[in-house]
Amino acid sequence: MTFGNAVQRLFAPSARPFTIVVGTIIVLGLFDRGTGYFFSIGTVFSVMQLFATLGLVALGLGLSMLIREFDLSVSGMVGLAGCIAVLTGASNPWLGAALGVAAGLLGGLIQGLIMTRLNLSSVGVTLGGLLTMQGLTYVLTDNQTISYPKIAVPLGLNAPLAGLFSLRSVVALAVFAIAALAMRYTRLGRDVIATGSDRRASRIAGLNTDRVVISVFAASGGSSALAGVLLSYSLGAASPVALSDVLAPAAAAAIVGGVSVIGGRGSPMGIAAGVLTLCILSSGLSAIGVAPYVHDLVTGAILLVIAILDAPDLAQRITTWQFDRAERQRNALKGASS
Amino acid sequence: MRRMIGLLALLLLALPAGGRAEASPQGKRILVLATSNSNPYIGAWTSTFARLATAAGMQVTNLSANYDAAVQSQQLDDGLAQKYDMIVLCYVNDQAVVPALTRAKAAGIPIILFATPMEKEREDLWTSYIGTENADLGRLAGEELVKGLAAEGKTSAKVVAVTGSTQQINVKARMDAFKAVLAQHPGIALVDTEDGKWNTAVSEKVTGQLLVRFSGQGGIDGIFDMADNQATGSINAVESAGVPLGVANKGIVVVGSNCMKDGIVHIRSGEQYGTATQIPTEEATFAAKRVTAYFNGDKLKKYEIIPVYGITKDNVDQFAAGCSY
Repeated sequence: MTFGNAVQRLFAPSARPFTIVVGTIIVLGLFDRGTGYFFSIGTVFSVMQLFATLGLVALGLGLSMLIREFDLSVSGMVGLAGCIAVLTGASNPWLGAALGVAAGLLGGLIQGLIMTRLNLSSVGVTLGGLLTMQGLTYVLTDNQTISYPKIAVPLGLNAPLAGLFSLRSVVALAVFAIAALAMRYTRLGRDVIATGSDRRASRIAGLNTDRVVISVFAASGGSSALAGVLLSYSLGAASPVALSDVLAPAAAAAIVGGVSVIGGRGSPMGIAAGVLTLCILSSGLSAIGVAPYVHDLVTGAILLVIAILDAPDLAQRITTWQFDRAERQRNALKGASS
Repeated sequence: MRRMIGLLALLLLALPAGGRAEASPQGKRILVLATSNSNPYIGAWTSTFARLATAAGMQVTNLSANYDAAVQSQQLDDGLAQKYDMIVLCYVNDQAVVPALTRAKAAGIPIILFATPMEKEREDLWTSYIGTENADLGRLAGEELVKGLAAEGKTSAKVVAVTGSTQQINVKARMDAFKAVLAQHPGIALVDTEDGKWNTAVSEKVTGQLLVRFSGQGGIDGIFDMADNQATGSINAVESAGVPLGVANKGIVVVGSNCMKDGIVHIRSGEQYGTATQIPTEEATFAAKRVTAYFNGDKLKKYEIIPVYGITKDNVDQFAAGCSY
């Protein structure tokens, strides 16, 4: 295998998320200059904690992008589900969690039904969903931060397991594993990819694409809601304003994770790698003492590079540009010799 | 799946344990966690503290959460993992920060709060609050508003409050003290309180809406803005609406707090009646001194309070330099 082929394989869409995450670790490791702040158990724990907050939202959003839609309501779902869990789970956290996740599933289901039955765009419908959920959160909390009375729950959720994980991050990893297995080994997983690749052709081939869309939005709602429940329980609070800004980082993670914005390409494991990249950047740059605004600059630069690499006719343009350059050189040589 | 396991394994490579600094101010590692460095008060506080603490031999890392409670909780946990010698904190959300502070307490890392303390029942979670007494700032604003209205000959009036983020307890403390002053003047009624989120643009928008809402009921006589940048927003809204402003015009009386350059300009021009000292550079200087003293073996009091003073046209020159940070 030549060097060129190796590079091509490393940056192929399916391998690229993993190449980027490994590259990020290597680069930050070099910047660490042996201080040990980056390569520490604490940084790994921190990365996994961030993963738990962002991962499930990115998974939900990424799944919607896989079918060539965009679920803007994920951030509203995080806040609403967190409030429901804190308000209803004071005596029994499991009940609060179940109701929070159920609200997410229901919200996604309703949005999916509206989209498919009325043939509407996901951006419009989920933007409405986002604003509705934010409004509901204000009503439920009466515009006040609600404290969760059982301090043992946040402490238990965030307590280190084997020094590297917490219950919260283990739950997030488990959901990713289930999603990966479902996408790889079930018919629904194949249907999702088919719907995202060419919905019309899939429908003609007999696939019930409406059911796929509704299922994906329900899954997206449920995943985001679970993220919200875990976040609110881990902070011991629910707030009318979002406890975390998740929409833009989740979209960035999905794209870094290899999900195509035009649908049909991507995987839960790729999304996980994209989330890990962002989390490693955030925790790693903080650990080595880089100013926070640099995080956004670096993430933006990575996204820009991916957007360029993802350009559908990039290879053709490069070939054309090389051909034109050779042609110009040939003409120049001809001119010189004559 | 195998790739993911491989990635996790890579993260686990070469994990040396960190170590605490020696017991002296020299080389102490301080983590300053702020709500948002883009806020003028917070930005001036953190930069002044970082400069002075660094000059005293400490290593300061300053992180901003941009009002994201989850990010701040994570930053706190990162600070614990990296074994900072002290964490200096202006929290985003007083409830959401409790679990992380509980972990900090268990780790034995001292926590210094600035800008706003926490509720009394949480006192065990932090070492010291270094800053102003928020109730005093609310009281001064109330007294100045009453004086401004009296200067217009008004003993009965409708006033509104445009606050900082309502989730913070410093906002509640100021409002309680402000209301206590108004309670001594039965003719003056607080008719509405809106969240201006410490933000100039939000305060301008909120004030514009309040002006419209009360225009059919005789209008508003006074506005309490919780910071001078918010007062700037309110003044812009009043002027845009063409409503008389200031005592000289027998118009709306605006009082601010957290004195800033804009506030000084507006007090001199008569557009703002008063403000109060909450000068971040002075507070941060005092905090840096107390932190240095702490590492030299001094004990910190639970509340290291810096006195505040009201500012009106009569004494504005005395505070102009300090407030123009």
